[in-house]
Amino acid sequence: MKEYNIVITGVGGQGVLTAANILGWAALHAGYKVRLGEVHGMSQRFGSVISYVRFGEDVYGSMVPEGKADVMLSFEPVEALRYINYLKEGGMVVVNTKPIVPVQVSMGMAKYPSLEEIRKVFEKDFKAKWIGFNAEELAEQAGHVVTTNTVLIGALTQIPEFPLDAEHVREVIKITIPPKAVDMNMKAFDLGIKAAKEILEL
Amino acid sequence: MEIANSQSSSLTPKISNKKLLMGNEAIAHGALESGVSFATGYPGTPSTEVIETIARLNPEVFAEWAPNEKVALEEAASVAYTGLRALVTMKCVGLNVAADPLMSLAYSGVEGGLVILVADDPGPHTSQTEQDDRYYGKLALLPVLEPADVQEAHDLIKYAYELSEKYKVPVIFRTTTRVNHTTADVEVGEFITLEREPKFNKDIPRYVRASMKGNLERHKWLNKTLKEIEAEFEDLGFNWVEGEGEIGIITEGAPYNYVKEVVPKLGGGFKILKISTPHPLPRKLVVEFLKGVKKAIVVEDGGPFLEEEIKIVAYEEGIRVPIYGKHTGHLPLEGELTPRLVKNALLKLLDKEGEEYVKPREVEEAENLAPSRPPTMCPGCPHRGSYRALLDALRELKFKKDELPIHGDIGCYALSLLPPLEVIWTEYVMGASISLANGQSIAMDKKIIATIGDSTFFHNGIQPLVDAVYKNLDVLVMILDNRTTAMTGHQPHPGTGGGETGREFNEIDIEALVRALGVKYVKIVDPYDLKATKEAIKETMQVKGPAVIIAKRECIIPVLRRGEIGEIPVVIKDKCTGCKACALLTGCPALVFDSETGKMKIDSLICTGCGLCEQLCPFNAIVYPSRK
Repeated sequence: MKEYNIVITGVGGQGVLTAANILGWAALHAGYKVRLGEVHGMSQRFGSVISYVRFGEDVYGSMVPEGKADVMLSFEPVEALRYINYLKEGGMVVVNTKPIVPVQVSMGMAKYPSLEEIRKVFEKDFKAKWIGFNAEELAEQAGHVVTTNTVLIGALTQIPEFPLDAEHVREVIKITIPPKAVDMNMKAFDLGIKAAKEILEL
Repeated sequence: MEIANSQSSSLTPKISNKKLLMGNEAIAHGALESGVSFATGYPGTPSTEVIETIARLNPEVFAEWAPNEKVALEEAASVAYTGLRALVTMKCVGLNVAADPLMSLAYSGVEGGLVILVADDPGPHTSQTEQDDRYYGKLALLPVLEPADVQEAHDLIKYAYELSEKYKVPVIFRTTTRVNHTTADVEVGEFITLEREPKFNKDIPRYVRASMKGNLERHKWLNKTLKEIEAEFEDLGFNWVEGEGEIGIITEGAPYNYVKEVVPKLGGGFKILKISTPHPLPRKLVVEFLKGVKKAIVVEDGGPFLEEEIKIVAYEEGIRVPIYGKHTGHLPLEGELTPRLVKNALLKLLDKEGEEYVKPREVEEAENLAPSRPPTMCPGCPHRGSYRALLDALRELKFKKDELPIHGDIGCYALSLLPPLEVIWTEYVMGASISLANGQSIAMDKKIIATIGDSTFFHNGIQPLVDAVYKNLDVLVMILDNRTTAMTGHQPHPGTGGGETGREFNEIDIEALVRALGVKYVKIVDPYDLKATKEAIKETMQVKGPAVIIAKRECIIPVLRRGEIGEIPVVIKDKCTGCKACALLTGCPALVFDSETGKMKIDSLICTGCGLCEQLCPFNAIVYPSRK
């Protein structure tokens, strides 16, 4: 495999960079060259965040070119929409459907689109496969909302032609997180797998 | 981190001996593998993680922050004078602050290796300018090295120490955001400790710049040294030629990766010269390369530095090969390069139309549908209270909106420029808020307000306050003391005490310092207490001459990390009229308007209980349950 491109998007503080790192380690341990690209530094939260994960035999730069992402992993629906230009036509989007409404909307300065509108853009205009579910709810079921990224990564491993095996990714998560959080995250990972399987009818 | 058994992978598993490191972590590794014993700098994106990583990996190394880049460079130079190896780190604009010692330091040279890491930020992503600090190498007559990726950053910094010691000059190590903040697989080596006895030899012509004859001699020495370094660069392994073709690509830094990505897709036909030593340029290497191609393009991030250097050499050598780049419009002079921009430029050289990226209608529509989400002050950010109180105080003093200039400075509090606060009028360099207030208080003969953070105050805010006292200028300086350097990820500073490596450092009391400077009117307020803060500002606005208000309250992020969160207020539905005043006055992301009920909600997951909305609700609809 020459290259596989993932774009991860969300809101600052949601764990986008953590998710990128887990996937990076998983790819490294599978023997691939790895490039993760992001811009750190604004430690304020609640801004829009994008991170790139690239791996394969032939990767150089850390930026995923527009229209070249095989899959998009989004922690928030509007943040999926904002970066849709990265997704290749017919690509896949794994998305947490729980919105975080920007304060601009509460101030009456902007409108938050409905989930149906967002989904339609992906499916109709971009011929993309929409794998959307409330990951935050599943994370709470698993024990805590902080496991939302584990739920989403679990779902990601189920998409067709995803190059990293779910059990391999699971092992990487196990050694990446503090021991006391392992059980909760494994539950979250399984819930993510289950959610994706249901949507993909696997 | 090792996986004992990854046989479950669908791929052929390889137990890798590589690490996954961010560029800055790889640079820190390289410095520790070079036996650095002193590292300092001032936090600045994208450079900050280098010092933090050194401190984390080897606290024996004196890896600690300095108040500003000038002090950092001077201290590091002084360490290097004694024969030890030192590292200084800063963002692009940091070298502007350190430019003064840089110039003279070049004449003195060093004994132990000294590397000056400057992280440029083409884009720009997080910087006030897109300046290209390679030009400082030309100005100061110092060698400049630049890596293209994370592995090379690690390897090249080790060479930088050898180079610095061999020729006894400091080395500028230029990186860009795409190297500093890219994470990649890297092979690293062992850390070393150099058994060296620090010794500073008295050498007047070398270290004292008071003798003009001596300065002229050192200038000559520096130019001669630069020539020797150029010769070394001619056959250095970090500069190389690859590929075959009639079109030459000369490239440096992160854009080398875009060239590697794009060339195979264009079917080859390009010969590449990869440069890691932009200054001094290895002249013979470049000349030989140009002689072997029909035309050439220079692909680099930042200004057209390499392009200009190469054109000078080509002219001097009588080479008539056309050289393209940023000056010829093949690549943009502004912003950072991308694989697409590089591809278009190369297509142009092949006389093919570049596939000009026209944003598809669908993308345009999707982007329009997404409401903007700029970074915002966190829920519980003390700066929100400071600026809210400032606006309210000015309104109660009958100032109209935007009647009185309010100067801002560098830090999270610059976000006060965004709606709904829209407070600051200026923000550009560390400490300038106070100087700008000084100038306008003279020009307009009225009280002008400056707002500055604690770390920024120590960086370069003290001198302008000295001037305000000296000239008895009518300024109000609000020091927004959140007890940390927040924006770059919470580094300690002289006002907080403590350091990165556990060494015991003193805490400098801002109030005592300001009073010692001679500021007569000094008040300390808690910005969570809107009324008290507002009254203090109103009172201070009546004072003639320099006055300081210290709005003191710790940044909410460390508080949250310690789990010290306060009680979360709730909205009483019967009292809430849905007027949105709370959101409109604070812009706090925890305040969410529920369009179904027409009332506000508080998102209890992100609210920190700071109480600003409770103080501002005109209908007393926001209350703390325990105080009901």
